[in-house]
Amino acid sequence: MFEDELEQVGWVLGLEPATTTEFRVLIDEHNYLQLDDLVVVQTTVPKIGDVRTYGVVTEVASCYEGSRFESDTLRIAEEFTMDADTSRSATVQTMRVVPEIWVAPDPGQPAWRVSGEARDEALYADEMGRRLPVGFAKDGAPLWVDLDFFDGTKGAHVSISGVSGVATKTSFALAFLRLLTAHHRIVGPAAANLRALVFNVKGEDLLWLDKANARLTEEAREQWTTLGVPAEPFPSVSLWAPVRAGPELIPDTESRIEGVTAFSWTPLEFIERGLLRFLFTETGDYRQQLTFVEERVRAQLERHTVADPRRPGVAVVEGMPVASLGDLVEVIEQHLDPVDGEPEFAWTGRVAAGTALAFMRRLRAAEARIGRLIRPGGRRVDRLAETICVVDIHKLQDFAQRFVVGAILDEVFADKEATGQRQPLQVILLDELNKYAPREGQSPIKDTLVDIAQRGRSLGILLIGAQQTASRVAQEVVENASIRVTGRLDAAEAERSEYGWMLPSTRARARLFKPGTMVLFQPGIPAPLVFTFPFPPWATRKEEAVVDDDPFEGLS
Amino acid sequence: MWVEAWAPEYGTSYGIDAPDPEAPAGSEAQAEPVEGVPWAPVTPTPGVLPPVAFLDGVSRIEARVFFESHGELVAGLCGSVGVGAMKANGTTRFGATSVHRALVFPAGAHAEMPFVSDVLRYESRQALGPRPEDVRFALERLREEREGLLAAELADEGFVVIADGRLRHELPLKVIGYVKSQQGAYLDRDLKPIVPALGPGQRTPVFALMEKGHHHYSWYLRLATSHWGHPWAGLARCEVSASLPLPHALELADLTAAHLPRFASKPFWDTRSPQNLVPIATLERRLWHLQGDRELVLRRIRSAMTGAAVDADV
Repeated sequence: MFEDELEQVGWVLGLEPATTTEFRVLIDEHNYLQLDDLVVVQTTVPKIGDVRTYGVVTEVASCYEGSRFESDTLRIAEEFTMDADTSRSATVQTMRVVPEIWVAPDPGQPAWRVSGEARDEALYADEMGRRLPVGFAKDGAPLWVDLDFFDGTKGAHVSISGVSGVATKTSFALAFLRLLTAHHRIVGPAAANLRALVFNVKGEDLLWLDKANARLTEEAREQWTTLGVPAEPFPSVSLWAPVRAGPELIPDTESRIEGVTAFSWTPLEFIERGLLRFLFTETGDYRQQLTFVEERVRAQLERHTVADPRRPGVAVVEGMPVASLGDLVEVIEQHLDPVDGEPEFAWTGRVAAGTALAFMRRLRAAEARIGRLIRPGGRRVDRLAETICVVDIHKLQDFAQRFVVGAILDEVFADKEATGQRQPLQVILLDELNKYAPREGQSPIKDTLVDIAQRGRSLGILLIGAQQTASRVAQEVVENASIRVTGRLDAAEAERSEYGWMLPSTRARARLFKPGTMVLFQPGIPAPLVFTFPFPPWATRKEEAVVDDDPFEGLS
Repeated sequence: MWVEAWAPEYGTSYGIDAPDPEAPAGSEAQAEPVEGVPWAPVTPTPGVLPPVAFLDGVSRIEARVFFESHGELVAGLCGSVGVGAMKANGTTRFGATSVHRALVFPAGAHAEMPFVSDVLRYESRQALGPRPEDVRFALERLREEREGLLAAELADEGFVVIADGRLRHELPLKVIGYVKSQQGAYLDRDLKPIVPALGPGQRTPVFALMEKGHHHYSWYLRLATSHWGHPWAGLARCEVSASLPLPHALELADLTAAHLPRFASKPFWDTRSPQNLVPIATLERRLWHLQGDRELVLRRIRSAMTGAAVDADV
């Protein structure tokens, strides 16, 4: 059957035993095999019939056979006093056996280069309910992700690892989102209401997702068309940035202000949603009992707060108006560190005086750092307005970033828990996961993320998490990701067990990946596959954005 | 004192005995210089090497077999020979190689072998005599026959054939015999001294050798020297048929003296260096390899024989 359709590249080698997991192929001298090529071997198994073994090339080698010394290479190639056979061989890792009779391929059997229908079978296309193309395999044809393992049907979440700057984690995550949101037919009924929440933590790259990229080449354009998507920026994007200090509601961004909405929380929201706890997200806070104090304070605030009937967003705590974080800190201070009298046990919970003071110090520091985010009259992030919601927090420092991420994630989680429905699906793209869900320590954000990782499937919250080092991220989060993707890896990091799903050869190569090359692992395919994805059709900075409106338009 | 360059188990490259004072004069063939130049080392200018084919053959006994005839056990052997060439024509590449197998019994005895396998096919051959040495020699004759056929093919293709070993009548006319170890004391007292004086790339003048009905032109050449070798180390002797015109023989002599040193092997590389030339040694290894795994062949033969014996009993 293969003789007519496929190209033969060699024969199964018989010098060492071929096994069910690995076999070697002697390459025809007029052909070649490279890493990541897919091959198939047909073996006639007694009593069973023909069995097709599909595999991916994980190593290629060549040597002079019969040469006994290194100097023989000169004798053969330069001095011409000796001859030897050049042997080229490839090591192939088995990916699929059809029918599922796991026997070793016979030596001497022809090995064919996989393409066409055979390729579909090699890549388990027949077992993928809904396959979304995410990039191109080495042979130039699309590679797919089984969406059942992303959207919660059989599995959920994506974990992306790689060195900053080179590993293109965010670029891939956005390419994935673009494909996900464009292929409504593949995604199914959930596509209409699918929303993605993207946290922008590095630079202003993600503020230009809705603008076309001037540097897009024809080649890249064609690649997007092959993947089934027009090479255009995201059609539905809402952009959010923290509000600047000052009376006006201006977003704190530099390169772009048009189209960006400022977000903030009102003091009433701050109290009612218990956002106080997101000011205590250092991993050491739990040990120092600050979180214990925070719980008491929060409980007290909830009991003693009412809304101000005349000024929306302003809270009234025990009769005192709270229109800013500063006001709130003063109120709390009166209970924890009164000028005259003892701290109230109902508020402090009988912790040591030092702990209460530490709590107050943190509050005051918080006021300095994020005070401007708590004000009446502003808007919270509306993550459902457009398909993609970008929350830009790159200008905030660490403490403030964690506050914003914690508060928003908590809102997402609470909303989803309240409905109890999987749909509409909410995708969350979060980079630097080692900061928000570190391996050691506890924090409310980590709790939320672990919850999402473990229960997101049934809640319809899908996490696309990225990190430089998966070994520093909470295990529950990494392990629950069905789909693993890696770009260029740091050499020491590549040795960690978190990357055990990669073959030794893939691990060695991951240290050399160029930007745009990544390796994908999904439950449906038992071998990691290397792929590339095309250059983005959306701008990644102001200079790349295509200017499509004439500033003088409308003027005479 | 010097140490022999060859590994001890391979003997020595210098096997010329001291002349026996009691042997009758002229019992060994004596060299007669024929080149017409003073008896001194000749240094030919190396030109371009024409297409040259190095020819060699190997043989081995794969099983000793017996059959019963008139109440007596008759002993024979299963053997295989391999012959092949290494063509040096700009680059150096393996030429045609082939393996042939034979079942040999002493003269007068005849038996057929049961089928062993598609690859192991033994043709029956008769030795020329009744003794064990004759049986062994029959295998060597098979090799020599095959070498001769291959040499003729190569000569037709235009190669200068250099055959390992002394010339035999099976080999066509223009073949050069290449002798690694010196056994014959051909040069008399006057002629001998220039041999130690040869440097690499030099040869003695060509001399004629008339012996046992074979008339040859011959010469010694130096392949390589080493500072720890004895004066006759690193030498080889070549011979061509005396039926060739002398100028042609001189051309071949120059060719070998000028170019063979390049193909000489080093001590770490081969146990019979430098005389075991790299292409010939490589060819030998390839031929051994093509003869197949010895153990496997013997097991196959045994299976075939015992299977046949069982059938015969039934």
